[in-house]
Amino acid sequence: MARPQRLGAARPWRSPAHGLGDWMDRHIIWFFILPAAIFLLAVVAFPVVYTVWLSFFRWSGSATAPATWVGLANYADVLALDPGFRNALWVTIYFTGVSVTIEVILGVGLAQLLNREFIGKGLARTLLLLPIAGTPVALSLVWRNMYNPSSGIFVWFADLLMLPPQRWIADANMVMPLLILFDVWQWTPLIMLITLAGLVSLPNDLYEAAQIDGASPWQVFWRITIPLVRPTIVAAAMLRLMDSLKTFDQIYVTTQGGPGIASQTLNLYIFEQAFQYLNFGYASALLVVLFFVILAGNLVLVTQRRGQL
Amino acid sequence: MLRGLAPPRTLEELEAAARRLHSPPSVFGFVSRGRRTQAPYSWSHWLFANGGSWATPDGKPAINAPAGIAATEQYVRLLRNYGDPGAADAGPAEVQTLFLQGRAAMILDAVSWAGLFSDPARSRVAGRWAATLAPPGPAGATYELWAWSLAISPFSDKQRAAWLFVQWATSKEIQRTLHLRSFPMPRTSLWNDAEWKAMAEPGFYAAALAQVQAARPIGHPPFIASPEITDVVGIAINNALSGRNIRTELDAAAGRMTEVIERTEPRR
Repeated sequence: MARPQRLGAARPWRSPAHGLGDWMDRHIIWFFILPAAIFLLAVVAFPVVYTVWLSFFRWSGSATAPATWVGLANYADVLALDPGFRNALWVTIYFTGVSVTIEVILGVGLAQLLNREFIGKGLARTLLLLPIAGTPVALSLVWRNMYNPSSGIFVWFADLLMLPPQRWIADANMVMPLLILFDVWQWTPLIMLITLAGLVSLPNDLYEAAQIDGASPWQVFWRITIPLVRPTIVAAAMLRLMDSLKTFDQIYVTTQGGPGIASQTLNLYIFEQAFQYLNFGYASALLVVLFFVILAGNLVLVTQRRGQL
Repeated sequence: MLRGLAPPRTLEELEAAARRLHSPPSVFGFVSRGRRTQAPYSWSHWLFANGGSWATPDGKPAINAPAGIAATEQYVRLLRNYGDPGAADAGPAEVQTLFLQGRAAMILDAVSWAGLFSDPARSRVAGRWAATLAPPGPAGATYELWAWSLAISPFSDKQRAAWLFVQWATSKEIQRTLHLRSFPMPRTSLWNDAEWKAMAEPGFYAAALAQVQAARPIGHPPFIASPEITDVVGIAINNALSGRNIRTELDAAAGRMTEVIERTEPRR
């Protein structure tokens, strides 16, 4: 008769001769995540830490003139609202606020339109998605040419509508609305796509109940659709907000922040400080401030999530 | 397309000619760089022609002195009244394109563009343009000199190879090839070269030779933080092009220029 074993008393067989291999076996989970962890550390964590570190110095990128410690002086300059920073902050808030708002409104509207069956729906959806498939720099060059005050197509439109000649992209008052128009054209489809995905997944029984109760289409939209799809819309808006606050290539290619500094967003200002004026320390401090601006924007949107009827 | 006008010999004549030749939207009287980072380069001609300079001998900004204000007034007036609508956005590519398409009656810019303007494959005005000296102002004219240079880094491991390359690149044969493709080279012998003289339009040749022999590097602020100061002045010019008060803008620019100089220049 075999010796009875107590339940739960089973012990793993261990060979005393294979110490290292055995240790690796027991901690195998860490080895599986090691490549991803190294990647994250090198590509994400290191640049962030380096930027924060650099923001306490004044450095021109020189190999011979070392960085000088200035403590919080760079942050003091930023918070003392240096005129360049103040202008850039205002331009960024203006650009992002207006363009994201319009994109969300238009995107939700378009998604609602595409959520029903009609002839040519597939074609309509494909055409509407084309702007986000384009390369930003190539599209920016096209729009820059369209906005050219001497030979762009908007000049032709204005002639057609018998408007007085405008300076278009060379006009400091017009340049921001023009850039917002370009941004709305390019990114509304993204909001539309994400919202459409949310709309398609809504349950039908609520709509049937509303129909039985005699709700008007407007009531259905505002009282049922919007509250249910709200978390999706907020997610799309957050995605778009984070990208919009960091907009660079569109504005750099079309106006380079001009005329003057009328379209110089924070990201462009930072680029200029770092790579044209070689003020790496100040630019790093500005980047840390930009991070908190983006964080603040996201926190505002998070409070809007809700998601119940 | 000169309509009986002689080439302007002063800045006043330039403005008068621009007024005569300005017929938008097909032809603009005078085009020049107006974009923030580019405008100060072209504007510097007016600055020095009015007797101004970037800074005083002891390193203080002089752009908002009376000469600087007069220069900005003249430049902005020219571009706003007789220039193309996109002046505030115009960089080298834009003004070049306008002239190549025959939409600009006059342009004041780099000598090295002559070959491009005479190339029938790319220029609609090939064979139909002429050049003259950049017109003097009340204080004469200081011609701008700007050149690409070669340097050998003290950190290089291959300094000897670099030095041999520099000798090759600046040799007469190589420079002649480039010179004949209308990248003007600094060797005097090339400027007297018969083949090149035959290619160049006579008026252009005489004017370019006179200018290059008297030119000085006035196009950029003579400071370490030259890009930043150029931008500061460029913002003032851009804002003036939008119609803002020139004196206010130049005073603000001078203030910012002082701040940059204090931050970046070594103590004298």
